[in-house]
Amino acid sequence: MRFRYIIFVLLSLSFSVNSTQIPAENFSLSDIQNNQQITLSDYHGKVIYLDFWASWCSSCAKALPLFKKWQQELGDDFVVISVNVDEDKDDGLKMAQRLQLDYPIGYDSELKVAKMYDASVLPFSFIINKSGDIHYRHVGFKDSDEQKLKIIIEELLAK
Amino acid sequence: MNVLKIVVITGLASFSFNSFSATCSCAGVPLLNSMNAASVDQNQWHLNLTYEIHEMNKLYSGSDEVNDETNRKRKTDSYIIQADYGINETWSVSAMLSYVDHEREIGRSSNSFSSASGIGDGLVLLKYTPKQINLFSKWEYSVGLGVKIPLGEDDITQNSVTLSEDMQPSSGSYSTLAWGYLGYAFDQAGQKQLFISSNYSVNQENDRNYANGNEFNIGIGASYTMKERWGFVAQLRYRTTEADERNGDAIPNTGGEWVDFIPSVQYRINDKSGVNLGIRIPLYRDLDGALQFTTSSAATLGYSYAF
Repeated sequence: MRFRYIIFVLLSLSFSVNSTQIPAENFSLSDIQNNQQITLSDYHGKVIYLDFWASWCSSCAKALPLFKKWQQELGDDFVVISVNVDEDKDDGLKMAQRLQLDYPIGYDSELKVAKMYDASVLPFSFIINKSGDIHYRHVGFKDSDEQKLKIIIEELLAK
Repeated sequence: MNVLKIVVITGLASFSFNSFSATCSCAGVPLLNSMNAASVDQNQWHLNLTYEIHEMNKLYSGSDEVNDETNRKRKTDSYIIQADYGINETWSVSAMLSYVDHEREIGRSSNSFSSASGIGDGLVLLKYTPKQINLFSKWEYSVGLGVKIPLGEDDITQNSVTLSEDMQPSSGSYSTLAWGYLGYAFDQAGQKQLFISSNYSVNQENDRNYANGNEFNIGIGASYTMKERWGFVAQLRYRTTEADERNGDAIPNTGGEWVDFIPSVQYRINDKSGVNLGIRIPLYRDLDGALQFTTSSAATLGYSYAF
């Protein structure tokens, strides 16, 4: 009986998912690459992958090019919006240019949006459904996350 | 059974809200030595394997080194496995198990050499970390309570004579331990940090009525982590112990004060693992009694894995 409890706890650790549907708070930020205004509500009706990152974060550097690939593969109903939180804007800009990122990158100089979303560690990302609700919250990034996250996005796109 | 249910339910409540993997702000390979590393991310495991070589060939009277001509060698090799687990965002637990190999040689007679090896003591420490260094906080503080458990033998004999307590792999007694940590990051990435770490242990008697003296350690240090692979830590540590006791009577030539400088370097192999190498450089000691052996050199080599 005790062994079953242990297995149950271990399984719950492995498959912990946040399926709470709460509305994603709206925000506006200036794009780090072209200074155009990025407003979350402008993308209402699309599935949004919202990602917080900084240039000093090695896991972020792994994940950012992947989002570019998704943007190309998953069609017009999907959009990546990333939020850079570097203390020095130039650090974020240099990394965006080096990785040739072509999706919107808001610069959150005072961490207002990061605090709004309680993104205290990096990378921190959210999958927002077409209704504008947060469907999934993901902390960190490792190679095996790619498939898992893509499946969730594709499920939302199919709805 | 009810307690088990509460533990399971509490555990599920803590673990069912997020999906986690390697993060940057406070996860990955711990850069500080195991007892200094305060926080472990929720649902994360850190495993550390540490080897320490400790030679105690210096003879001291108070704070003065005594030079004599006696042939003397005293060495301890320790192997420590430590597992840390983040229960939730504020609570984590650490467990350590040691394997110890003691060697001693005094004089040149046929029975001058003695040795003992085996599983030593274990330690379980519950840590509470209400504040962690992350995007929103430059401070981290943590406190913990633990218990040292005598898992190994403490009555090994040689030539039918029980070896002295300092040669036994295990102390044979329980201890309670209080632990604290305060850290400050100078930058968002936490590359430059200052920290203070301390612990106090109260030691019980073993079954031969011997008790190691209560011990207090405090270390202040600075760490610098380079963006890619290398990290450096420099720590100044003060340690003091009361005299050991048997049946409540103080044992002569035990207890004292030590100040050590402990520099170490870490190399991150990848996001999950790293190695570290440190040495302990004695700066000052003031030892109780007429004569005491103490550290001549010590070094540690560690491997860390996070998942």
